[in-house]
Amino acid sequence: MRVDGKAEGPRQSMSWLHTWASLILGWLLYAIFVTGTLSFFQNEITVWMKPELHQSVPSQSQIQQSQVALNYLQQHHPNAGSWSIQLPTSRQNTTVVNIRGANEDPRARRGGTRVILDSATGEVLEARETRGGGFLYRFHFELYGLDRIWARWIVGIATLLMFVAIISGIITHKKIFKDFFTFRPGKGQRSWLDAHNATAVFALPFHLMITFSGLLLLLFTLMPWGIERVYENRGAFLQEQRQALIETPKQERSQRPAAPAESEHDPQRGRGERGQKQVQAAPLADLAPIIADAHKQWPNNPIGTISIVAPNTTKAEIELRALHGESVAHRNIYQSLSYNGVTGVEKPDDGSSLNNPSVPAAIYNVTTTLHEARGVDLPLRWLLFLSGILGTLMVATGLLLWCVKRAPQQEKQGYKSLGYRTVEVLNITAIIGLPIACAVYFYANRLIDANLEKRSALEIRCFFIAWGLVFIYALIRKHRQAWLDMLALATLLFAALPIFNFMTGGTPLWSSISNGVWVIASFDLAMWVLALLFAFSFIKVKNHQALSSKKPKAGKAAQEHDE
Amino acid sequence: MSWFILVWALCNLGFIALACSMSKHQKQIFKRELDAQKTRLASVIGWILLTLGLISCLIYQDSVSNMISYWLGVLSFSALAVGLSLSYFENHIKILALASVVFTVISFALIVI
Repeated sequence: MRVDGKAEGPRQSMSWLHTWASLILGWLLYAIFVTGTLSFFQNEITVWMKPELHQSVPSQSQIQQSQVALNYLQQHHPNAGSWSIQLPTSRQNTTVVNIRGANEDPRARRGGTRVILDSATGEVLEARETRGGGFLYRFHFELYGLDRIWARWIVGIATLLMFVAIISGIITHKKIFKDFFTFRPGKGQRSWLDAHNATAVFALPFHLMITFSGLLLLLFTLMPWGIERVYENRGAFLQEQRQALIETPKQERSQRPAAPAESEHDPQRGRGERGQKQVQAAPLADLAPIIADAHKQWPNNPIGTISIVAPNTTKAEIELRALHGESVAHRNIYQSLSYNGVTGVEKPDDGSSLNNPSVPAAIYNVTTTLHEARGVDLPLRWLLFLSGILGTLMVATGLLLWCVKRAPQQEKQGYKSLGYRTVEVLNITAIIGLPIACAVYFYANRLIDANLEKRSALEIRCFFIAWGLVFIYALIRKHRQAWLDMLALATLLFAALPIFNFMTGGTPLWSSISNGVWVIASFDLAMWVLALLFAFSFIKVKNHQALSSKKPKAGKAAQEHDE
Repeated sequence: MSWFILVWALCNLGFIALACSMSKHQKQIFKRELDAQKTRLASVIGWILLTLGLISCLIYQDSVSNMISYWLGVLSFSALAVGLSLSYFENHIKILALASVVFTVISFALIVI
């Protein structure tokens, strides 16, 4: 859009759209990207934030792990209606058991008594009250303290603008193939543009996937009318989508619909009546051969949960569910095996097989399953996390580029205009303020008394207070100095976190590494990587002064880009 | 793990070959521009290597959707590795190429054995 009313090419209008569509909610997008990327490891964050659970060092053998849980259950809840055992995984160092009464649905999504056990000793562990990584996860699509629907609309609009930015960005990018590997460091605006392009282009499949699926995941909240007309509720719709993926022989369809899903499960379908029927006591089958059999059938997939319905009775049933999903195209479908709980004999396969999803269903399944990293294994999760970091850097470099590009003009006019100063301040608040707020959130987790009531709300308050303080600091301090101070602060905060961890009851890094508890060790190590990143940025900004003498060159680069 | 490294190393080599087919990077890597025939050869080899990365993904496990996701994810970080090497270590890009060859051979051997 040109004020002088001259004609402009499609690329120029796209460039305009890209600049302003991105800027308007850019800071919100950055916050969504940061908290969303951290959510790939929300389990790990939650474990770190519950130091009471750190002592649990699971054994390598799933047979031994299940034995520990079983000993506890037999000793304390022998007459329960059902048990479910979540074995420790590479992302969780404790065993979680759930006990339900005889008249409770053993497969309901909620309910039952949840107990956390030390995976090695079977000791019951009580963790402090904290939202942990769940707060960051919720924040990335519901923000905080706002009405849920409103917040989702805001995030949905930001996502839509992100989609607009990606498409207009691709069109604006002049030499997407010719400049594919190009990064020219130390050249002012040129370098920022290169960095913005590189982080965008290298992880383009990720950016498209995460944005498009973000819209799809919000679809049912923002546009619920279609489903509301046809189905009783959203659960019924999702259940039918899932059913379409499983081909069951007709006569059996009514008896055994499918492997149980962790969520989106129809609570109506249960076996709650089991407990009321005539049952006699009978010893439970030995789990060891059953687990060995499951390992043989799933060589690449560990056991995630063991459910035992009506334990210690003649009606006992043991069901094993695999940890990783069938595939990302089959959303929420996990392999499962059923055994007779008395004889330990595997029940005959019901003959169900997997259907290939239709094209729209496949697009929905693949993109949303990847977005949520639902049931994916650890290497893929790391790839998604690192791609998320690239996305975060893309948004950050884009926001900074807006200022860098306009800096010469601001210098020429001798004062900073209000709009420019606003963007500067908000850039500092978002880009460096949010990591600082996260660090403060982690510190608050350890500093607030573990037994205090409503302490999780206090932790979150600390997060927002820290964020607000960075905003005020950015407002009153000079631009460059504010950057330096905040980068230094972030470096110190993150560098000290692993030390603070073991001083306040967490497992020290050396022992978590030597015990192989990577859930905790990787959090501490990641904090140091972040500290290095901020220290590096600090040094870069500190040495930046020299470049301002080369202003004409930067100006030339700006012209080049405008053409 | 060794399968992961195999795919990454193959994609590294693919992107290095593609960089060799671009005149800007030819000057960086070979200190001169290559003739048209060699340029075309480099780009063909590059695309073949990237496809080999995809094929080795698909052979490794039968879930096509998972493995294509893996491949796309690995592509991002191969491109990043090659891009950063060309920016900061343009004289040592051959070391990355050599390392990738070694990684390919070792991880392939580990998988086969």
